[in-house]
Amino acid sequence: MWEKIASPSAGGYEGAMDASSNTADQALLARVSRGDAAALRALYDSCSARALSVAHRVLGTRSEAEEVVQETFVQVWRQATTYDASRGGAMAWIATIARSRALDRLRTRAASDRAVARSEDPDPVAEPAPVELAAQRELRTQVIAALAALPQEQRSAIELAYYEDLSHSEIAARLGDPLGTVKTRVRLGLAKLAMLLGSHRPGESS
Amino acid sequence: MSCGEFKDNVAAYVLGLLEPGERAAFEAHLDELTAHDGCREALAEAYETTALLGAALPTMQPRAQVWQAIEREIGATPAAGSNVRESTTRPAAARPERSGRRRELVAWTLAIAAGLLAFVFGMEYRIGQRTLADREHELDLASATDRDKAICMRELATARVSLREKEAALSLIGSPGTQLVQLAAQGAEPYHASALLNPAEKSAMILTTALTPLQGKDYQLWLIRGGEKISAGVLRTDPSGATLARISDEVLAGGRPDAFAVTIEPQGGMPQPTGPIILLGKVPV
Repeated sequence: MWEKIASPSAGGYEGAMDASSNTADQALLARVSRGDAAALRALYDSCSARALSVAHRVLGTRSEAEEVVQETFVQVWRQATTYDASRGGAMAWIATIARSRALDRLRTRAASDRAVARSEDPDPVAEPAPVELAAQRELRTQVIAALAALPQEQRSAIELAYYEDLSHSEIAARLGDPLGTVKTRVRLGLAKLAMLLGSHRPGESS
Repeated sequence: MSCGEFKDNVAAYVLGLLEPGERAAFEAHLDELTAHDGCREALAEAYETTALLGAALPTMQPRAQVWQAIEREIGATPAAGSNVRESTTRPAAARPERSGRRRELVAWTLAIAAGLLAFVFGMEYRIGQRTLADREHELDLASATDRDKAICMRELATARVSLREKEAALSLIGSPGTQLVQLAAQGAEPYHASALLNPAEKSAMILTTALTPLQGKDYQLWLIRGGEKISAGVLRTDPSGATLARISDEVLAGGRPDAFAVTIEPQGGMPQPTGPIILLGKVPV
């Protein structure tokens, strides 16, 4: 936002105001930052399932993934004042925190434990909520379709990076690609996903 | 790093693929005082898109004890908890469907918008809620100055600061050549601040309200001059969020600032801003 100060002409300030215009979720975050537990609950209702799915995909066990969800929302409660819109909407911010905390746990876990943990909890759909499932089915179908529309190597590079905490060079080794190619694939893949899923991002839903 | 390079690296950054050096250069780019070419928007879009990856996963719901543990940890008060418990005990089957959820979201938005409107009209002196563009189009400078003075006096009247400090501020307001700069909130929070600046006397004070003290973080005041961000120190607010502080002569020695800004920073402040800007006010020329 500092650039807005340096260029006060041509609507620079208006731009700054527009960028911070309220979406409902951002308004909820603002209430959370004032200590409003009901607002946190509203965010939990809309975002905890996604956070759990991501943490479970990374860690492989429900109990650990639920601990991550707990830590994530406590962090949201404590850090809502530091939220800034360049991190995406509330769902994106919360999913990012959950992923990051799950990856932190993954790093501290020994490789052997990881193998054991993954085999402990083979059923990720242990507790589906039928109505919730219906509400999310459309989005899920679209995201799966968008991922399927990506070239295999772009999809693999993105998924390995997002869920498995692999570095550029580790992904390159895993996929047998040159290092520079991996970065390009990730960039092109994410750009294509953004294009295909643009209407599902907050503020753009029809 | 150019904006083009920044945008080329957004995906790798969000996915955690940059080396530490690259990561630092990427983060530093956002703070550069250049006319960015959609850099923040590109970053937000990348976060949005990666977060959607999780929507393709099998659906899971956290068990009830997860929320209960969160509630315990945040120490939800009974007042806030009455609502909260009600929604906690709502059976999963009664969760709203997509259209219901939309309605719920719309209801939230309306309720919040109504709340904001009531707030703005109820406290019309908080013109910080209005866009700066509106203010720039109001060319009646004399009345603007009077209005700004009125805002400042009312804030001064409500601020719980010592009489001596209030007298110093009143004296500065009354000095010829003192400019009043309203700092507008840069987000949903109803923060507000006024800066009193007398360039000739090289004297300035900052008066804030609604800067509720933060745990482990501080509000930091910055003067912006010729593209430089100069720290004017951390703002120590009272429990009501008010503070009245004199800006040091040293900070003012370099000449008239172009703008004032407040950011949220790690405790004790930072040499250069790292956190979000919450208040911003341009010094009228």
